[in-house]
Amino acid sequence: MKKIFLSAAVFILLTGCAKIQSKDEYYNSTEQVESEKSVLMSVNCSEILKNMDSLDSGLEKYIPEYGLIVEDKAYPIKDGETVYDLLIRVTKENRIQTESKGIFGNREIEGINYIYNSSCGKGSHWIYKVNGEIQQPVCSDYKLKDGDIVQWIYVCNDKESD
Amino acid sequence: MNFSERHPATQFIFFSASICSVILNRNPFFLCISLVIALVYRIFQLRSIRILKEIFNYILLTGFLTVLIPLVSHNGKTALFFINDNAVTKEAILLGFSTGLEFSAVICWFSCMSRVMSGEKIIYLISGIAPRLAVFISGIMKFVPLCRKQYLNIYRTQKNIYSGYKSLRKKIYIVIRSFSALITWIIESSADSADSMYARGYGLYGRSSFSIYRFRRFDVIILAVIVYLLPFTATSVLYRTAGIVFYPETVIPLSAANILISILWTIIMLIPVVTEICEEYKWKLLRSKI
Repeated sequence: MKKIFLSAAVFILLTGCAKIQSKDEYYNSTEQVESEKSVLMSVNCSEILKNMDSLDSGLEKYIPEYGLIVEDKAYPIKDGETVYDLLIRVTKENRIQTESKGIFGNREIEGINYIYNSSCGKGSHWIYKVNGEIQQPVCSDYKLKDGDIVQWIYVCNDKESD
Repeated sequence: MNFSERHPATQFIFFSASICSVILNRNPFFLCISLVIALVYRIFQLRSIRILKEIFNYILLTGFLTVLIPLVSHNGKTALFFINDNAVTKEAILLGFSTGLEFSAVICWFSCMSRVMSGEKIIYLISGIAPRLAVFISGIMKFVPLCRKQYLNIYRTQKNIYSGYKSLRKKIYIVIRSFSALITWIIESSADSADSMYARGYGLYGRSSFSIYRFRRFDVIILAVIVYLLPFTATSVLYRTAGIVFYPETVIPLSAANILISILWTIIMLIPVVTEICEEYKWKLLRSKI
């Protein structure tokens, strides 16, 4: 009896914390932000085009022309919006798949548009630059300011950051 | 002649080959076939209602992984619904299902193997190359169940001695006491058996031992087929034509060679079941005449 109560409590705790949405709900839940502040954002995987031999099989279809998954565009931002929030909002609008990991609101990006970390050879992964500088991987910590330039770049050879 | 009475080398290579083929080929259809064959063989081995419990365990394991993997891995093209901004996809569910099948099939083949390959056969196989390792392995295989039995004996005795005490501290004390007694017993009995092995001259140069195993024509045929098939499978795994690509879209590569290899593996895996059925049939036939 004790076990049943315990498992029921754990189940309620787990499902209570989780936000379950259907596919349409998820993609239509984008909020229209109107603000004077705006940032430039792009998602770029053009380095893969130079290293096509080491790409995992089956992924060739998902590399867009010139490697631009999200083209450079200005997006209005809310106060206190982070890089992670912006990426999720933009990819939701464009119906692009993303996967992130992390606990307690610290999110790290694992894959965008089915291209994952180490999908293109050893050590290949997603990084992001704000105003040209590489930032730490936890992207839900960086709060955006007006006029920032965010670049998501897929790096194939991990020589610079090592 | 049953498969369990064949030469140990044949049995060992057969089981390792079937386990390897399950691990290397992640195609769900092939895994299903392999699991079913292993289960049928297990039914012939057990011949009791215990098989239902095992089947239930395999279903539980497969179901658990089918639920777990979509919650951890969110890759895949067809999203079903979203949990905390991460997608639960059809591909991930398929990956979980086939991983569960793979685990169940491997466990089932191993349990079949442990029933057929006794400690004696393992000693026979390895003692020529590494006598000490052989004793070590067979010792472990015998010792683990024996230790469990002995521990229960000691624990019951200790519990009766201290039957009046009900506090948690005393219970822990009893467990520690019986564990310490168990360790003493393990050391003593292993020293005993090592002494007796030494006295019989085990592992000395030139010492031969009798064995009832004979290498027959059928063993040669099985071994030849397995050895002939292994390079094909190895190359197809190396060039990623045998397996299955799950992400981002599930693709099962269907080539003639791939299908042929799968069919041949299926035929090889069927050998023990078929011999078992033949023996059963023969036994019934002879019995009715008497």
